[in-house]
Amino acid sequence: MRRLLATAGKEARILGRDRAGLAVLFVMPAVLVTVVAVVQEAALRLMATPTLKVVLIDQDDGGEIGPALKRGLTDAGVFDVLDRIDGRVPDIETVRPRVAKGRYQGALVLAPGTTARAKELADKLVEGLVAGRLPAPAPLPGTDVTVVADPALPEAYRKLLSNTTGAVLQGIETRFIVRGFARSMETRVMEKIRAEMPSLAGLAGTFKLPEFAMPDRPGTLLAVDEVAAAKEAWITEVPSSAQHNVPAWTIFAMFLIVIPLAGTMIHERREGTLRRLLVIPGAFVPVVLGKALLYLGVCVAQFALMFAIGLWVLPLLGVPALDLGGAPLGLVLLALATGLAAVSFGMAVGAVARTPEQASMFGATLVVIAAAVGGVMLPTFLMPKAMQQAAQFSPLGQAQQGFLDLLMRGAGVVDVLPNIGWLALSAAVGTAVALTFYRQRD
Amino acid sequence: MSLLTAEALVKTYRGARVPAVAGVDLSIARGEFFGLLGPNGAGKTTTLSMLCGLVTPTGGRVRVDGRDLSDPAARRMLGLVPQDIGLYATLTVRENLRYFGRMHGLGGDRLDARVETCLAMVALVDAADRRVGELSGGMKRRANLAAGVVHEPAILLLDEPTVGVDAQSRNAIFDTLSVLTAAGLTIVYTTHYMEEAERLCRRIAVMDRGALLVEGVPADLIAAHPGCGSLEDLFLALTGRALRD
Repeated sequence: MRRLLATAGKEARILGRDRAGLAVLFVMPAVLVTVVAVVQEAALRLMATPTLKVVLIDQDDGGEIGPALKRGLTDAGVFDVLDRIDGRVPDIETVRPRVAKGRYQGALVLAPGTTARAKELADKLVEGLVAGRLPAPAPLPGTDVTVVADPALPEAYRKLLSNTTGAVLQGIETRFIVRGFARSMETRVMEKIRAEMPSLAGLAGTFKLPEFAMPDRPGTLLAVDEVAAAKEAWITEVPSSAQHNVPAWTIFAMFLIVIPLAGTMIHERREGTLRRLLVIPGAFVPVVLGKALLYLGVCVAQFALMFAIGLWVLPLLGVPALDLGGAPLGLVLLALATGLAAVSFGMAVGAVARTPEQASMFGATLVVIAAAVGGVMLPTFLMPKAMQQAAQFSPLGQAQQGFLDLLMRGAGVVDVLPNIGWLALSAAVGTAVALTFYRQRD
Repeated sequence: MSLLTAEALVKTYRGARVPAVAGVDLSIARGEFFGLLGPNGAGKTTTLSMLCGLVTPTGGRVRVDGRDLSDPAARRMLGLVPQDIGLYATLTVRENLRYFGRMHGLGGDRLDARVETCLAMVALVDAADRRVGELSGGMKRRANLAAGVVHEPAILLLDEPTVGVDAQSRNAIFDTLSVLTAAGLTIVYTTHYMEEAERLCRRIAVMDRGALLVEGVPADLIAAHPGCGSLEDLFLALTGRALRD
């Protein structure tokens, strides 16, 4: 134990004097998690409640569709509908270049006479239906509403604009049809009274169905709610970027210890200190485990630092604080297992590589690849199926999966035991490689 | 009585056609200063590595004070001064000595005393708190020697300990080694420098191509080879003048 602690103390001194190594282990991940979480939070907010500026070019001669369209789109909570630009009614020649440049995300052009034409078609439709004829499809007299989109607007947002416009127009059409039915009913009732009861013909003119308001959009009868699935309950809020980024970059930081750890092992081998140590009976295992102990401590410190940033620093920058979920023990166990896997990986690279350059290039590249495959940089569900399967074999992927389960899916300690087991297995393999090759390479 | 013996030591590295060491026998007495000489690639470092247990022999065995080298008690009697500076460059001289002392099982007052003794022995008291990476070549070599004896070994194995050292530091190292020998330390010393061997070693062995060519007291060996006026003459006569690198 004394040798183990002596080695850990020696490693602490060496690492403490390695400013570049400390920067890689603590400063770089802290900056990464802060910057990425803040940037991603803004993107998440845009994705969750985007505000798209849409210009309404209403050429409908005061028809009611224009105002109804504006109301309907505004009520959707996604669009900021502008029907005046610089105090004037906009025209397509002015608006099109501005949309093309991305100043506005879209424009809706309402053709002249749209309302009159829509009402006329609605009346004809009702007339046919009342007469027992199936309505013939109305020939398109011209495009009534044109949706103009910024070419750089993502497909999802373009469809959102088109579909919302379509839904609002559908509501307006329904209103016109219902009104047409009402007028038809009035006419038919009056005709019947005149024909059957001439003495009451004078009253016929006074019969009128009550005026009624119709919503601009459908969807007032059946409500749709949106929640995220969780194991135990429903999560009612969309998780913030901190929930994904803090564990992701913590894992990444832990595995970056490959750079200083492998470096110190190779220096030890190349500079003859390992030879001196190997002469001492029984020193080899404490030398290796002493390093592991110190760097496991570094991993725990990284975990504490990164989670502290998530809890207390990110909120200062407008990102909601990290929610630790309901299983703190699970977080600690998973962090330790991740740290063990990271340390054993670093030691394995240090044992196998022949030069510090090899170790830093090979180790860092491998970490970036494993991080990408493991879903640290991009959620795995966005990846192709083959990559999703590969993620299962990445220690970083297993760690990330476990942390996401604990922080976002309401999982408990038992749920992440398979992830912990997998990480422990990879730690055992890495340690075996390190113990085998470190001595042999000398 | 021999303190360190090697019997029919053989080492053939994996993939090599010829053995690096082919049947070396050595017997080194307690308190003896023994020199192992040979050109590059002669097998000196491999022999030294087998003597201290760093390299496992393909054949033969090493005994320390009658014990097989696999016995930890035998290994504890050994100290190594490797050819490279086997010290941590970002630690101070004192921190290095304390670490290696602890790894040898020293602690408390004994460790403190040994560290100070070793620092004084190699004249590095004033540089004790300087990082090894900041020291001159000679100071590094002296610190390297101190780390090899911090645990008071019975046998010290030195692999070319004066490479790249100025005359002053080399002289200081020789003085230290003389003091250590006088105190009863057994030394096995490999070197390229014949004048060092002639000055320091009570007995020498000349190796080439993995085999011992001669072994004995330097003056006796020179006298036994007509035409050789010095150890260097003897060395060249035995190993030839052809370049080895």
